Amino acid sequence: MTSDENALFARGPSIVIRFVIVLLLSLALMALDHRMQRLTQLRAALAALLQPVYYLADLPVRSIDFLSVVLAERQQLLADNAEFHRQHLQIEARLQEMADIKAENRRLNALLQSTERLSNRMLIGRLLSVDLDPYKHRLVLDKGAKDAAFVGQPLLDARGVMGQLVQVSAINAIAMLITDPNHAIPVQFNRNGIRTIAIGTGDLHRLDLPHLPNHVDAKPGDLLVTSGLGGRFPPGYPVATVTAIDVDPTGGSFARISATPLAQLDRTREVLLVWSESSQNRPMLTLDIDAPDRKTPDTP
Amino acid sequence: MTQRREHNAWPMVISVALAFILTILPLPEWARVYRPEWLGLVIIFWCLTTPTRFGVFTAWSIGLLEDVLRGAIFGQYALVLAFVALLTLSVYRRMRLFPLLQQSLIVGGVLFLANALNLWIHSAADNPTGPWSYWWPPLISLLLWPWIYPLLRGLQARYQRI
Repeated sequence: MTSDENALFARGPSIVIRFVIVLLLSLALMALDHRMQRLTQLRAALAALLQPVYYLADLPVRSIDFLSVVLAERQQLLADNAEFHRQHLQIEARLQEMADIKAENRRLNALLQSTERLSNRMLIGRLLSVDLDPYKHRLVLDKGAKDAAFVGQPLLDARGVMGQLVQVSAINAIAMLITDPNHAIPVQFNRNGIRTIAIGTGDLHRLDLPHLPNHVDAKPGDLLVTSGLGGRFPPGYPVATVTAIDVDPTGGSFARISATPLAQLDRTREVLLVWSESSQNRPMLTLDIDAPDRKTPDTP
Repeated sequence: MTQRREHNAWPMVISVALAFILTILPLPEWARVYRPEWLGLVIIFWCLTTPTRFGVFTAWSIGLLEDVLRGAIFGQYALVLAFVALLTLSVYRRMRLFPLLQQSLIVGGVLFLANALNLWIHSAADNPTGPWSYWWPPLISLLLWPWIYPLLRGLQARYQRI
């Protein structure tokens, strides 16, 4: 050991040369990753190694959750149960209306000779309580390639679109939220059909719509839904509501419009993964669409 | 020699694994920006005490794992941690002679430069430049060094005696 440490130079190349080697390697990797989105396989393999880390970091919060269930008052559980039954009944009732509306929708679609929108398959995933980076909006969830999750897959909660998967390993996946500063989602005003792109701001409660002209027909409270352009998010899911419209009268040609995401990005613990079957049946979508969510793939 | 080397690898593996967990352990919202650079601290420690076994390549590989762990762009943290190793290895002889408090100043300096590199890569990848709170982690890590060093020293010594 002493002979090792007293040696003036370590065996092999000097540290500066080593650093230059890893510098070049890193730059190559960044270019491959950032520009071409390769390396998905390598990521998945390395992520598999890191499963225990996620598991252990998530453990404290999960055990607290578990204890709170175990120690919960019986009375409380009964009350919760009754409440859920009531909600279930209401939702069932609303679903009956839905069946009717769906049938009507199908008839109208047939009249218009447009492709029928199929229903989407969904799976519930649980978010792990880990904290990846305070400046990026990333989450880890407990579904992965074993559940047929894939990179780019949309993620919803009960109220709206949350984001999409950017890294998938065998049993975990990392999702990017729609408010991540690197995320952009193609949306549409529900009221008048104006299409635009909502861009993440790094603030969990704000999206920006920077590409709309000053004279746009937008009002606070307008609902934004996914437009389906880009082929990544299925069309028609609620995303956000418009909160502020700041028209610049001094000559700027674009309005500054911000919106608040509907999904509870900072509170949800359970999320829905969506397999949209409609996107494959819509060849028209793949034509003009590289542009809208060009920014969406993993570009931290 | 090989026998001892095998023993010596354990404290490294344990400390790096712990640092990985601490890196993503959930914190309350207000504390998130103050999270120390656990992996940076661990890498400085091993470069300082066993520079022949722990160097730029090891740090780089650990950084690649961190990239995957945090879903960052491939090579970002790898380069940052390799840079930490490079800086530490170029001053470790002097650093060993310093008392702990002076050492922690150097640790702070190394992590500060590494943070600057990290921020530079971060903004080169189309991210908006961040707030001032980006500079908390090196400072917090500096303040922690006088506690981290003896802890890791203890871990190291325990395995060396076996």
